[in-house]
Amino acid sequence: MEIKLFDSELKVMDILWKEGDTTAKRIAKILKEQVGWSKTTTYTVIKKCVDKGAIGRYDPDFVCHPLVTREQTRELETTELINKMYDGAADQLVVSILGRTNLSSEEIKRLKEIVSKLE
Amino acid sequence: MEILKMSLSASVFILAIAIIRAFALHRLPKRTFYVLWAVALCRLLIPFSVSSLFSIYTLANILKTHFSTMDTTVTGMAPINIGTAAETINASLAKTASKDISIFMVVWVIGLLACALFFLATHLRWRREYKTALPAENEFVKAWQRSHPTRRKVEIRQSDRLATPLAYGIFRSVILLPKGTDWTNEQHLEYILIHELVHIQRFDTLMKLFLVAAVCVHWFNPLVWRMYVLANRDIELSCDEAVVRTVGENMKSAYALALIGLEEKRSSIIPLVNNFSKNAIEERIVAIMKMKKTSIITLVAAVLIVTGASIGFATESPASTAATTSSRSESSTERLARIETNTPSARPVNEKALPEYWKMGALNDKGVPYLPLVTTAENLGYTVNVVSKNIDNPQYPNTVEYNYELVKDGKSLGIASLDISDGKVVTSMIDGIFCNTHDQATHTSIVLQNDTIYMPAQFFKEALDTVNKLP
Repeated sequence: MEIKLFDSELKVMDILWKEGDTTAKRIAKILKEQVGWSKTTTYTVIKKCVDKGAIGRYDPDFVCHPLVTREQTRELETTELINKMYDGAADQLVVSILGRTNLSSEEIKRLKEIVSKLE
Repeated sequence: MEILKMSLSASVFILAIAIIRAFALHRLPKRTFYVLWAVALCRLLIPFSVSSLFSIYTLANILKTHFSTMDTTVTGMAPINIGTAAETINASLAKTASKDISIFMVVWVIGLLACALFFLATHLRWRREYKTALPAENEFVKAWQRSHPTRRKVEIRQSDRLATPLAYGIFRSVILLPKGTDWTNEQHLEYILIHELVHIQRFDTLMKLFLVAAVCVHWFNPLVWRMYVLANRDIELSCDEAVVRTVGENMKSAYALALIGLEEKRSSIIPLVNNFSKNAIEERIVAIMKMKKTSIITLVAAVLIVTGASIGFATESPASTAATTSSRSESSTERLARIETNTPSARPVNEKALPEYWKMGALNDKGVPYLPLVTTAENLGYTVNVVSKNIDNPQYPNTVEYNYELVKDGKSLGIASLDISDGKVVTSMIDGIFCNTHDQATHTSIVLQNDTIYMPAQFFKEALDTVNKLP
């Protein structure tokens, strides 16, 4: 299932991925502190996630349960990025990441290991 | 139909601004137009008028009087016939007008609600979207905000649902930046932030709110819609002007380029918020590039245009203001009640007791018997047809005019016209009946009560005798 999530929705998903099932009330409290959203705003975003099928909501107390994993979302975003910016060629993305000057030598080493593992 | 009047007089002003704008947009400081639109808004939304001798309406009045006197001399040949015909037309017009006004009212209210609903729904939908924006995490933005403290709380947030930057909120303002902003181009970023901050500091959102209100109230007036478009552009132009003044005139091409960069990213049109609008971008770029330091001469020109146009087009001539100030707030019924109480000859008459008084030969304090004019005439063998009642003449806001046709033996004797004015009774005549006007007895003997004229039989007879004695 492909679910495209916007930044605001990802913010809610982030909490669920980190903390597991959480009540809507608690999400609102966390986000109020984190990004200054009002309760209504948070509930609007949660509702959107529910509509998109990213969150399942259970009574009592509107407990929210993530229906997609962080990995699935990352996968989707990456595929989209590859298709949009690299004409579907994943290797081009890797080249571009490796070409970035701000990668530490450790990161480069790890990337090389991944590449050799996949070969 | 006060709205119609307000709309009409404001239209003249809007047209005047649009013409000045077309000819001098790049020559005047953009603030000029901002102020002019604000004056036009006051004119459209505040239901009272300011009078001045220098209004174009004074000129219009002078011309009108000039030409109408000429008219009379030309058509002076048959004043009586014209008078009678006019009265009849007036009467039939009055009948249809009252029916139409209620239909117009209903249509107007429906239009108003439809417009308001559209703007409100669109605004709320976007507003809900904006609320879900996340705080901007960019270091430069944070540093910039620290170096630009504001009196009101201003938040800077970012959203991936947005194509162009915007500012919203009147008391707790938010600058929203699209996630796709080029965060590395600090110069562009600063221009955007200054631009939005100027919008916030000038309460431009409030101005836009009033513009929307004007469009909703005057939805039937295409010139008000035109004003909505132009004023929204001028808010941006005026804002750009302030930005260029802040960042320095030598930076104006850099600023213009930043705008073009933004334009490439923009998407949908959103009302009620300060964003960059589409078809005006060229105008904006040209305006920025043609911007010069405000010289004393242009400043004086701007001040003269604002005061001149405001006094000339947005005020009314003293005569018509006198008429409209009393008529704007009053309904016909209220006005009639006021005229009745203000007229010294109107004293309480016990209506039920009137026939008894007549039989008994009851007299008023001047010793004259009373009955409603119609009854008096009927007692004397005349039939009275009420032709018209005129209370809405803006030229005579304190006067009610009754027109009666007197018929005897199936033959019309002509139209009798009575004007009951604030403070005095004036009977003016067509066809010669009631010629002894301005007689002191007349003033104190005619009573206006509950929309009915009471006239002593004695006076009625005297008046008819005078007519009969005429050659």
